[in-house]
Amino acid sequence: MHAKRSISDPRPRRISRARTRAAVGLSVAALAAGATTGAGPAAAQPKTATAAAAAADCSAAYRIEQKLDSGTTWRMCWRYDNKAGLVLENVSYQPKGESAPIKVLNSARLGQIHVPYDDGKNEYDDLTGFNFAQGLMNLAPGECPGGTIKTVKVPDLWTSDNPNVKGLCTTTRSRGHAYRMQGDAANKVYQAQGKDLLVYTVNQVGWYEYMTEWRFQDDGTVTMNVGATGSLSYEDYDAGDGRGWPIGKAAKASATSHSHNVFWRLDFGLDGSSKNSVEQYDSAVTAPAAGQQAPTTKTTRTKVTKEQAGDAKAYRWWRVVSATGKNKDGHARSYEIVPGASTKYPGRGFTKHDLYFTQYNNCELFASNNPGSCGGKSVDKWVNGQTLTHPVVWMNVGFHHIARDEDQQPMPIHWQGFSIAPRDVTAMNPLTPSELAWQNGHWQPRS
Amino acid sequence: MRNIVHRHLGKVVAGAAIAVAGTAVMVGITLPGTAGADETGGTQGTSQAGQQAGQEQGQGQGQGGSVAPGVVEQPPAEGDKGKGRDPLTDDEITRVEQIAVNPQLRDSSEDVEGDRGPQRLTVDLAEPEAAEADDPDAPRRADVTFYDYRDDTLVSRTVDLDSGKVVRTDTQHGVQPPLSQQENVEATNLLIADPLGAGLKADYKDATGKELTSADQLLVTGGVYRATPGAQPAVLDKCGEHRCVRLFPKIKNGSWIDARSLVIDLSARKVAALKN
Repeated sequence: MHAKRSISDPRPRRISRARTRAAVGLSVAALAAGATTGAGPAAAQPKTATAAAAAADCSAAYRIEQKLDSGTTWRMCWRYDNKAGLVLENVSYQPKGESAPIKVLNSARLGQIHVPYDDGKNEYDDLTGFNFAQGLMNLAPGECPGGTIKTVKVPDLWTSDNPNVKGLCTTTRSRGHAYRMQGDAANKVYQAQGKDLLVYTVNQVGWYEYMTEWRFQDDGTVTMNVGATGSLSYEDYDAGDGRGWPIGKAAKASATSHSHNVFWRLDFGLDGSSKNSVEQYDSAVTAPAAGQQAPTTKTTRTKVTKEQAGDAKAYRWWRVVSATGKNKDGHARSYEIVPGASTKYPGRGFTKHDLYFTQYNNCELFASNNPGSCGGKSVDKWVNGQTLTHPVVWMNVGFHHIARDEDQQPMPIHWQGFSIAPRDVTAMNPLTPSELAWQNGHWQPRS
Repeated sequence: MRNIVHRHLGKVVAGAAIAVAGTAVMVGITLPGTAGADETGGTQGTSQAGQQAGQEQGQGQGQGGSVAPGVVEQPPAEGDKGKGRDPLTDDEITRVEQIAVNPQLRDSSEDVEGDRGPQRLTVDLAEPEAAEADDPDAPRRADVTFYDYRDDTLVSRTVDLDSGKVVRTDTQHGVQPPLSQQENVEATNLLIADPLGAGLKADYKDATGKELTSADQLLVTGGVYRATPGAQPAVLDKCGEHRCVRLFPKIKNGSWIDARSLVIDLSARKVAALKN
């Protein structure tokens, strides 16, 4: 089956070299539908002067560049890690009206998928103890509608001796209304249908399949989600009272409940600098003073200057602020962290917090069971008072999975994730129609 | 007739995902123990439904009408050297492996089969050093990891691809990253040869009618087992210091077999059962 590979064997392990021709099979229909191109025909890509700057990041074959209908272009590099799976790097956002791409992220990758079962018998660390990365699945064409399926080389792929997996989908998808506003005239409506670039892979670990999806919207928002599907564990049943839910007939077959705790690691590089700062905002609501109509709310900012474990709270949010970049209104560019629904797992130290800000350290790559020597094996241990001059954001999104009848068979996909949204990256809505471009700030109607 | 398989340990488990000529089809196999179940995995009627669902998925998405299915891109032609954050090329991987294993490491270490030279685990593009974070021309480096079965150490070396030098070495005990394919295969062969592998062999025979004699007949993936005080028989107490695995074997084009209650200690070359 597998030829034994010894370290001293000088034979290079070559895969068959692809014949050099343009990306095969990019039909006109696919381009018209907004299919993404990587090593696509040059004619399909509008080249800007700034493309040369982006070109230093990675070769064309590993670059994803997509101009969405509304004029926004997202660019990034992709590669595959033997534990983390898909890694996206040098992610930049260029709305129409910006002459150069605006770098957002140095690196975006999963930090862990941690799955403890309620009966205490199994606790999986899918990225660091299991073959998550080696379980990349081939996608059928129908699984990447309107898109392009790229080949990913996966050493030690467990399902086949051929390491080439048709496993990375890049496509575009409409998300519905981006905005709507009635114009002054009764028959004038300003509306736009938003378009997103989707980049996703599917990894099978045991009976579960995890879809890792990165969604880049034309308004600058990035949403990351992991979708769990595949099958419930075949043999984890009947773990006792309060530990499962019957999914067979009547009271039979109580599937054991478990948690999925997914971590993302985001390394921001706003406007090409890693020296971002972090700010926390909290609002306090006060009862009306005598004679006051309504309660009042006051929002205050706290600078996060040192490593910190953060917990979600009502009226609390964080943003990562560019060191160098300002928009045309003179405001510092930033990205705001927008959490999704999450159930924090209190059972382990590293899952006790919703997010962590750590000082960049290239050894710190996985939120738990981190294999490198970084003085601590999990993200909670790395929060130790270092000053933040290059912050890395770790998001923890948890889901307590109590099975239901609908989970068989296959299990309907369940998504967990969060977003980062631009705050003051542009001086106006990046999709503002030109007729409304003058309505910035406290504008006055003009005759 | 023997009642269905799952009392052998390994348990034959339903629900194989079969890739058929580029189309992913989820085939539902009736669960063992269901009345009227076909033990060889009857799929009457279900594959049609699965295929239809797969095709329908591609239609009706986006606005107004059908969207074309995705187009498969050819793998890129690979040069010798990658640029920037490109994945490591085959040539680069071979180079760094050779650089990372110096004669001293090769002569003093052992792989999972007991042969000379450490067990290769992974080669990954390294993250940049902190000072290089904003430098688009930062050097390309690779992190190479090995496991030395002679003294149960995890050896990590970072190689600078420009200079051809090892720039960092790290040695740890008690750290167990995921298993390589070669290690999973070795663990499977140890299990097959062990009396505790009888259940696995019986389940394989039930499902295929053939004898299981080698890991070649299965697809295997595995998970690291790390001991917790009191949670396993004494013979497995060193798991964590030792490299131990629980296997997830799958019959080729067939079903899973649940072998999770068996742990193979690859360092001691022993198989043991976890208490239930």
